[in-house]
Amino acid sequence: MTTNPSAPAPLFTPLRAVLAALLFSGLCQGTAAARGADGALGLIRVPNNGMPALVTPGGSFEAVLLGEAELRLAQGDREWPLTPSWTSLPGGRRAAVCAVPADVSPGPCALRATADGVTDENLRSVWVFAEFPREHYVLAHLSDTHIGKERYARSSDDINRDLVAEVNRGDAALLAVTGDLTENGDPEQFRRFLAVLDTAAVPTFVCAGNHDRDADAYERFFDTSTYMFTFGRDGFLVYDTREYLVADDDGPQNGLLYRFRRALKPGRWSVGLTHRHEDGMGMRAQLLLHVDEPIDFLLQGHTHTENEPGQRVPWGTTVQYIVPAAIDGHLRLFDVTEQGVIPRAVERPVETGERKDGRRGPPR
Amino acid sequence: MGFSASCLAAALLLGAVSGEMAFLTGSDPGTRRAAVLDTATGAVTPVGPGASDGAPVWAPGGARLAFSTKGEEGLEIWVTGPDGGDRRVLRLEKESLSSPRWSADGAKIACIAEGPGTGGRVVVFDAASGESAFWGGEGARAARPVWLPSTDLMQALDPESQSETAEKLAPLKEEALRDGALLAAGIFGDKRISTELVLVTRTQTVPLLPLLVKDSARFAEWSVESDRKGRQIAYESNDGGDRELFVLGRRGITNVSNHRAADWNPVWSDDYQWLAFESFRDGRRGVYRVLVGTGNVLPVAVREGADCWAPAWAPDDEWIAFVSDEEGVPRIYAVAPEGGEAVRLTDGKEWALAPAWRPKPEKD
Repeated sequence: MTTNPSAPAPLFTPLRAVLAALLFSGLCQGTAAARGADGALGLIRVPNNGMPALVTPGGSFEAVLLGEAELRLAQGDREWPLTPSWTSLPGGRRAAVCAVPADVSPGPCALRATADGVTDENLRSVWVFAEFPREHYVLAHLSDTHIGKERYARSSDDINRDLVAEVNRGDAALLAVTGDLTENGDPEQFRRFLAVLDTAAVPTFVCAGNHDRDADAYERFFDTSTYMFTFGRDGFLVYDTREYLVADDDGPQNGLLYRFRRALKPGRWSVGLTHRHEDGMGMRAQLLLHVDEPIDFLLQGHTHTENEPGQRVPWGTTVQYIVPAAIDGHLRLFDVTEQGVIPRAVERPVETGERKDGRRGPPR
Repeated sequence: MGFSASCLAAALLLGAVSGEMAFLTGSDPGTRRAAVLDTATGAVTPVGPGASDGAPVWAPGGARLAFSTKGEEGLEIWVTGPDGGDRRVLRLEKESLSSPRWSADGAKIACIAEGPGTGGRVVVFDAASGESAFWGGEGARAARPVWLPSTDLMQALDPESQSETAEKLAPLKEEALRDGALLAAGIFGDKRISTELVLVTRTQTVPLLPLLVKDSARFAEWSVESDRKGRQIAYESNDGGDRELFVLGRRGITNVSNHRAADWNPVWSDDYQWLAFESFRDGRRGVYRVLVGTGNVLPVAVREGADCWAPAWAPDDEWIAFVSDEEGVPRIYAVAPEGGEAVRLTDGKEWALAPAWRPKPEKD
């Protein structure tokens, strides 16, 4: 793995190895207890391990639940009761703004909710940072994990688990996985993807790809496919381009994109995370994100090949980075600095084994 | 208003809404279906196959519907009766067809054809015979075409017959008088694309605004709509910093929405005095109307915690239908143009989008 010698000390460095081991052992016992038995979300919809909350001690985050519940934050053996302020959302959902107790240690927390004697738990859904980086951090990018696509001697689960382990060994602060998480949206493939995702020792943000479009499967596991988050001074806008007619112009997404883009405007860099960009995609989304308030960078997958040097979306504004497929063993790290989101070389650090069709190298 | 009084008012209003409405039903874009709703009874008649169906549009007089849907080799256009019967399929080899619009006499259907490497081209079908021809000349790319109901606008653009503008318009007028003309968002550039309003005839595509405004190419226009008579056109542009609505008519070009938040998707009233549109001026996406002659903007459907979008005027302008996610699921509502109590027209878990009232039959 390449490293940036000028990079400051990575976040959680002393904790990272221990954390990865704890996560792995804890999750081996605990995954089935979190979410439903099939891995689908339950009472707690947001945050979850595909769109976690990032907070500092004493800061606050918003949770979205199907109904009011007693909320607790858990880390290892410790548990903190939360005293949320509740508001109503359309569709009968409830939003809870929760303050994080000042004595929660940096690292991942589980959010627990108990209602009517039943407890739901979202592991790795709240990440506490001692402080957010001001100038530099590293972002890891995977795409097209295609869990369930068995084109190599090694299983798709093993290849992707090794890639996440590679991210854990490095200095990344966040991991983005931009779609085609599964081969065909099968719930069992989503469950397997979650098992891989939960080996990550950093917060993980996901979005939907065209291979994940089987009915509402993605929403059952991650709730919403369009959201935003901030990290340090930077804003990330995650949006849905999974469908044949990508970036649906008729549904609610365009309203969200406008509000999210406006909310992220004061930040340092704006970064889009999505599965793909097509010239024929919903024009409203293109005008919003690449003309009227252009986002600075777009990270995507879908093509299974790397972007050309200097590539931009065709409106000429947004720098476009495409990472080749994780199922073929690829990942890329970015240094996010005052100069921009700077890509390191695409890596292929994981051995996939021979292709089952007898051909050599990743398919084009 | 108390609960029972509110229910009574809603019941009275529900009884007042009548007529048929085409719309899209389905949460999953991949299985979204074109359908027709009887607004008085709530009965829904499916008319499309439910394969990424696009927004349905009525022929003048309301006897036929057209919408795109996914065929075996790409998108094709289905033309059906309001009960889904008497179906005709318009398709072109190796081309995906979308954005159908009927000519004012109902004899032609224009749509966008996208083939491998061709971008979007305007193609016009004869509604009776199914014969097709590409319009706009070699190499022209465009999106979202709409028919210009008359050549009055060309006269309005340049009433002086001796000017340079008149010279440019003369051959267009001749073609337009013979075959008809379209307005569209022309797409220009390759590595750096932009959109510009264009007039499209059988053999030519001519940027419209440079005839009137210097430097118009600096802005990206979209969503052009002609009034029923073809004397005024409304469009949106980022001229002014954010997206605004402009009207081009006999008095030149006027910014009729003028707000620092975005204003989108203008839709003419039947009496062509008003435009309904979407705006974020109160935070969330809401539906507003503007009296074009004065620029007076009034709210129609604005919700504090939800979005309202996709306005559609009823025949005779008695109602404005719109989509709102105020109950979690996007549903169609109707409200009097002056605002007030909205009536929910669709129910259930499935999304309802893209409402289009059935026009009244034309008088002989």
